[in-house]
Amino acid sequence: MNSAPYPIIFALDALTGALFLLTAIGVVGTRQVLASLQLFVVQSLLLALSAVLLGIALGSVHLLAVAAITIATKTLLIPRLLRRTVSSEVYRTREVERVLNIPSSLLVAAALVVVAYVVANPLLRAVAVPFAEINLPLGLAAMFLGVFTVAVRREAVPQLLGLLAIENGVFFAGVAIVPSLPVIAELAAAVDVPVITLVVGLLTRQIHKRLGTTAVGHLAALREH
Amino acid sequence: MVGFLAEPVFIVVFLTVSFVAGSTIPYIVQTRWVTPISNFFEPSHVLLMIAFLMLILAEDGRLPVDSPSGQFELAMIDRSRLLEYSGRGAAVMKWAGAMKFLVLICIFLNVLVTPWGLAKGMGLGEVLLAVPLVLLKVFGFVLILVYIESSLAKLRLFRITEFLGAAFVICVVAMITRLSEI
Amino acid sequence: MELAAILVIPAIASGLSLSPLGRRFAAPITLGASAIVLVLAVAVAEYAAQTGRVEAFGQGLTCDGLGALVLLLVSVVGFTAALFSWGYIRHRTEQGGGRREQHYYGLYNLFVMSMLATPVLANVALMWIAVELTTLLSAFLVGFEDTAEALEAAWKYVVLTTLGAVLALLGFLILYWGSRVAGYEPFTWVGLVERRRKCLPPCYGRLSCWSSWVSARRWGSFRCTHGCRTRIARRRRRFVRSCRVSRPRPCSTSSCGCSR
Repeated sequence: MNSAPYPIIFALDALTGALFLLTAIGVVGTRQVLASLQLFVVQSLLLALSAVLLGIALGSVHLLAVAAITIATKTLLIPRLLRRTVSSEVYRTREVERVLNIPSSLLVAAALVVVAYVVANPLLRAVAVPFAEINLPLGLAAMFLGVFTVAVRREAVPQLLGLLAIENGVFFAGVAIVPSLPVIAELAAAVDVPVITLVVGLLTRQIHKRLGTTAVGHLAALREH
Repeated sequence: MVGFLAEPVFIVVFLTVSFVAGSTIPYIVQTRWVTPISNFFEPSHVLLMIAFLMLILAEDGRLPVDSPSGQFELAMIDRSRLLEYSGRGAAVMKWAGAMKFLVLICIFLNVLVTPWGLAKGMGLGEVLLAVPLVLLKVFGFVLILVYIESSLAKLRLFRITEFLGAAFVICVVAMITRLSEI
Repeated sequence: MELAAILVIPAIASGLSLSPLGRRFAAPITLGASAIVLVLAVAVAEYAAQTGRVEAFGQGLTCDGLGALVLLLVSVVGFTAALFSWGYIRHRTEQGGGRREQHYYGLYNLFVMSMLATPVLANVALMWIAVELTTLLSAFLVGFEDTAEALEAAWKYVVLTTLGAVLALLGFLILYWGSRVAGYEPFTWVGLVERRRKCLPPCYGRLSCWSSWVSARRWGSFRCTHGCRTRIARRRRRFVRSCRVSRPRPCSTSSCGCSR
């Protein structure tokens, strides 16, 4: 491991990564909408923590800025935006029907983690970047789990949280492999996430008003018969 | 009630602990997380702690898996064994259950969570020094268990499989992270 | 110069549509703007075909052959959609007064601007922002009619395209990592193409290509025919649905248009 100069930070980063993966699996597997939102907030906090650790280790101010932006947008702004745009009764719902039941979707999630490690292996062997052994595979795994969340859940807010979880995963991988991200990309992602949330939240509100339900996974009128 | 349903997960969790540490002897397993202190923070260790905690809750019939003081007949499948006894027989059965619980807690605490403060040799002095420490750890764990139990509700019957499935998947993920040498 | 004009004109048209002037003239303004953009795009394409690449703002905006092709397609579709939506949207929003029409044209022009920006922006990060903007600006265009089908279409559209864009973000990050490893700074398409012969480990290319392909597939399936397909498809489905509603007795009237 070429992170020998930073053993403690490496260990802490590994811990953060494990909890990050656990929250990603939790977003797939929790039944309650509010619990998914809380797990997403915890995931964003862990992402910020990893960015801070890497920023301290590699001495990069960009990463500390990324951490600050993540905390500001994803942990503070997004829950507030979602509370305001989506009516509060959505948060009291629990998903009764899913495409796959929870044990099966958890097994698929484990398989996706394996796939992420397999995919990340050639990249890690090609170039040695400190901390990429933890962040890249776990970021990829969180990304795949986010895509799986969008596919498997039928409620609107968890699908949105799946999208945001993919971005969390991308940034978790990104803070290790590109420690000095171009400022434009940071700002873009920072502005982009609240805008996506706003648009999707407003759309959810309209769907709720018009169709009476937010179980968008059940909408199947537009299909290629 | 669901002690028998949790048997596969029991096996998998113990196998994962052995796999991660490279041995099935608890004393050797415990040293893995003591000597290089950075091993304590490795992802598979954290995941194993969580899975083992879920297993303890399931094995002993604690909330959220089962209510130990409940009187609901459907959930008393395991306890019906106990209902047949009274007097000394009942005391012996309850003692057996409590011993199993103590063994599980000791493994959890001394191997996974706080693998320090154990007696290094077999001298009487060291053992006498280690016993109160273990009791202190058990007491701390019981306090945490009280907190967990008082803040969760009992799971519905078919949600218990999801709970156990989650423990299983966490073990699998711990194995994966250990295999990829992180 | 034309490249900058191509981007600025739809923005101006959007502003005018949302202003009080747009209450009566939003549709003609949009049509005029898209006609001008079409003419400029043809000029840019011709110039790019002759000289190989058009540049503006010191390589901030570039357009080579492939970019010119995409630019032409987008401007043609934009023009025809503006032409089609003049009568269609006026008919659909007659009851609600002019405000909804203004919103439509405001969003429409911004959407066309972001679509036009995608092939011409040189910096890869900015291009990703433009792709995201197309999704967000057109979310409410797809769900404009506020019916159940429209909202379902809007939801699926937003989720799928945002999914693609976020996956593409990973691709771009890995591409950036690769370009940093191989040692050059300007993260523009021109820079990447010019130095492609230098050793870039193939796994980078594969992974970033895969994720960009996944996102492009989403992009393509919803973009190019977006303006026409959803609206025409909705009309067709409305016909078919009216046939199905009258199913209890055989469909004897020939005005249904259903195939029996």
